[in-house]
Amino acid sequence: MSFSNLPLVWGLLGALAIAGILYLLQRLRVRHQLVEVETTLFWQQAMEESRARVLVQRFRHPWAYLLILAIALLLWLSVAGLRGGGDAQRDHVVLLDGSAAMAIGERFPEVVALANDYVGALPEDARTVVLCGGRVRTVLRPGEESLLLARRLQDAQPEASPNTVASVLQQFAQVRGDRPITVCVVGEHSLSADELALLPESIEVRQLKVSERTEANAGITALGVRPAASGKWHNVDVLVEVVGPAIPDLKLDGVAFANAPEVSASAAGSHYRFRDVPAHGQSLLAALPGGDALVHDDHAQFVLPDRRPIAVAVQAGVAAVLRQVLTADAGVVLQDTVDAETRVVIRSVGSDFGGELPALELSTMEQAEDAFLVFHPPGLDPDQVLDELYRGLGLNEIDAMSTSAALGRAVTMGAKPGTSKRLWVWQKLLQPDYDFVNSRSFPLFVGLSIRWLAGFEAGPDQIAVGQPLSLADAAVKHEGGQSRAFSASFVPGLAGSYSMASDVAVGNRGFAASLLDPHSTGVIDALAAPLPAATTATASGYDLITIFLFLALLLLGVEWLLFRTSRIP
Amino acid sequence: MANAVSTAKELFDPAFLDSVSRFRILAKRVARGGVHAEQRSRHMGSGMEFRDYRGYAPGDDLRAIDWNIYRRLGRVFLRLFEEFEDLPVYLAPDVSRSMFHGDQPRAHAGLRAAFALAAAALNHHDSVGLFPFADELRVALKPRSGRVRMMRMAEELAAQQPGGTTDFAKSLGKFARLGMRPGLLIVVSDFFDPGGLEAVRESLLRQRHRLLLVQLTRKTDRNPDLSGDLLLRDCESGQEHDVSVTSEVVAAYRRAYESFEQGLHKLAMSQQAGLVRVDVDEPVVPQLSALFESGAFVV
Repeated sequence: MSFSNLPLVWGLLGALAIAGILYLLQRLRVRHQLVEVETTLFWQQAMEESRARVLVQRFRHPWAYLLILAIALLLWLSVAGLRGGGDAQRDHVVLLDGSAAMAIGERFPEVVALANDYVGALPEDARTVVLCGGRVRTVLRPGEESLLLARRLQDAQPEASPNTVASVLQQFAQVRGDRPITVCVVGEHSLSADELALLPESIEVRQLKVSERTEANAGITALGVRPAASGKWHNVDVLVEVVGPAIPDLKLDGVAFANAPEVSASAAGSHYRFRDVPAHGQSLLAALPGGDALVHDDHAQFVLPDRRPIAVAVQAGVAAVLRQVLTADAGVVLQDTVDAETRVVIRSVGSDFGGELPALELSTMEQAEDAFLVFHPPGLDPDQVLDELYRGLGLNEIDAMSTSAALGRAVTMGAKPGTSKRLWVWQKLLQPDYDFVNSRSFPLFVGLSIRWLAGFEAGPDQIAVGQPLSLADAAVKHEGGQSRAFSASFVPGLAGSYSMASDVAVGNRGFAASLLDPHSTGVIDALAAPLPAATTATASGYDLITIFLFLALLLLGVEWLLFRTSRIP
Repeated sequence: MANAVSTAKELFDPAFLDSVSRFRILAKRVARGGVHAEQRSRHMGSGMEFRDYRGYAPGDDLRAIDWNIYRRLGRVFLRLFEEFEDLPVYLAPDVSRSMFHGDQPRAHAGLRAAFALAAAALNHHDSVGLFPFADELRVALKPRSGRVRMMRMAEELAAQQPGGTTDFAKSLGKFARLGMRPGLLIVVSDFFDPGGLEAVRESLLRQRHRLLLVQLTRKTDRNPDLSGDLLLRDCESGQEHDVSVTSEVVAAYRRAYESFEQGLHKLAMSQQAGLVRVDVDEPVVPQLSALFESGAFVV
């Protein structure tokens, strides 16, 4: 049993209140009709005789009370909308698939229509409707009118995101615990048999299927970037995976990339590899000729890393061994003087060469306690900076023990905040007498140090909607206007460009996420387990309102008859 | 204060008088001291009908000596003759407020009944006095005989106004103290005394007179036509009582009323009094006829 118009607790409380109010009314002193009689002598005697049955007198007319109580309760239960049925005690969660796959043809309007029909038959206080798109939104809460659902879904559209039904269902399973829930997935689902098996027994999953896709569709299912195989630092190779017969075009900041791709095929689709694409922070757009069933997967975008050579100005007379290493680094251009292009300088501690530019500075052993001393921007945790840069600068590769033995002093690393990014290194370490400059880790240390000082970070090689992205604490803003703060890990929910509200991010310039979802493109997940179909009849139970109203009318007739015959007052 | 319920013309209606002309109240013996009339008296006087002899005593009327017996027996005897005197009839109609309650007050039938009995007495030269009572007894008309009194009686009865609360003990106690010549006391009442039947019994036991009780009833006394939750107000005392009239309460009421009627009947029997119940909603004379079925009501 459940109430469709009221929460169960309110329904029961209302029934109790009615019984109580009627009881109190029954106990109220009756306003008697004044009648003047010739004598009350015999009435007094009659009342004296009847007074022994005090209980009956105090609670008068119990049958009349029961009759009016039955009528009032029937009317109340009709108002409350008591329903019967097997699912009465269960919560109902309706998950509307609002992913990109629903944008094909008229599938999403079909989903909305199915949901409206299904939800209309569920008890109001026990059903929740969630739209599972790139952004998960609860569009109907328990207790809200069913009519609101149609209004809220009036302007809703499928979003360029993969199917999120499975993740939403897992969240419900964690939040709701052992409470019995019937989950109805309206649309496609991507739940595997293993995922279903992990759900608690209290959760029953059903499905309202939409029509199968019939239109042909081609789409991009992967877009990746990696350092160019040619070894050219400033170039990258771009890989585009396509399902279907279409061939992708590549544009860099709106300009077509002329080189023809290498093509290979696999079970997943066709792979197009564009080699030696110059990377200096452009916006990369891979697009298929449009006009097929799903537009969301016809393009993918990516923000290329800025791999232009880093201009490094070296102070005259400072460590020639560094100049040799940097000359061999394709990502670095050496300068003798500081100009506008200069991003990093190498100088001695105390020199004003390069001013406030990030600097690799050579110190004496007396000037610094630590062999490697990092000055990082204020506000960062020194311990965290040390932890990151120990590996980030390749210092874990050097033989510190032998170097310390040769120097007669421990080789240590320290960090402290500074006004600009600087890295102090003992000048003595760069002398050929010690193993450090001869080791294989020295060029790695120099190259990584210059890139850290220049602010270069490699970043991810692919960003897909729904896939977590490791970023430092930051806030991002989608091109559609949605702004969101996150901590450490960010999952882009929608395809498109994201701008960064924080300095520490992917290339400091933002990034772009793409759908890249084989399931949405049409590669059906073979692991998806079949679900039993949901039927509104099972969920709704049977309607008792008409029966209650009829019974109330019948009892009113009985009461009128009893009143007319003076059986009840 | 309600007005009188009958006019003298209504009571002195020739048809009504004609209907009661056959009524007669016959006393076995009336107390001496009355005026010459038609009732046989305990007093042996100078009447026309010989009754007995008795011996002469000094002071006796010499005209009553039977000289023939003296001549034959040598002893002096007096001849005694039947004396006929009047029966004093004392009408005590109840004029308490309960008698004047409602659209069809009991007083209407009660006063007609009283007047019928008064007429029966006056027609046969008995003296009739009027003593209406409620919480007090009042001497409205002293006992007098003669048909000429009939009009006066009618006017006096018609002029009765509602009194206070019924108080048999006080009213009839006062009547007992008046020391009236023994006669017939006719009480016309509903007998609804707040003191109950016990108060009525106490007051009647004090009377030296023969009693005739005329109980004024109506059908709703036994079967009240009330239902629901009522606040019953006593029209005399003003006391109010919450009563939820259910079938159980009505049954208890009926038992109480039947007990009252039985008690009144027993009281009449114990006092060798006459008791006639008059339904106030029915014509009075036919109901009184039961008293006179044998030609006269003998007291």
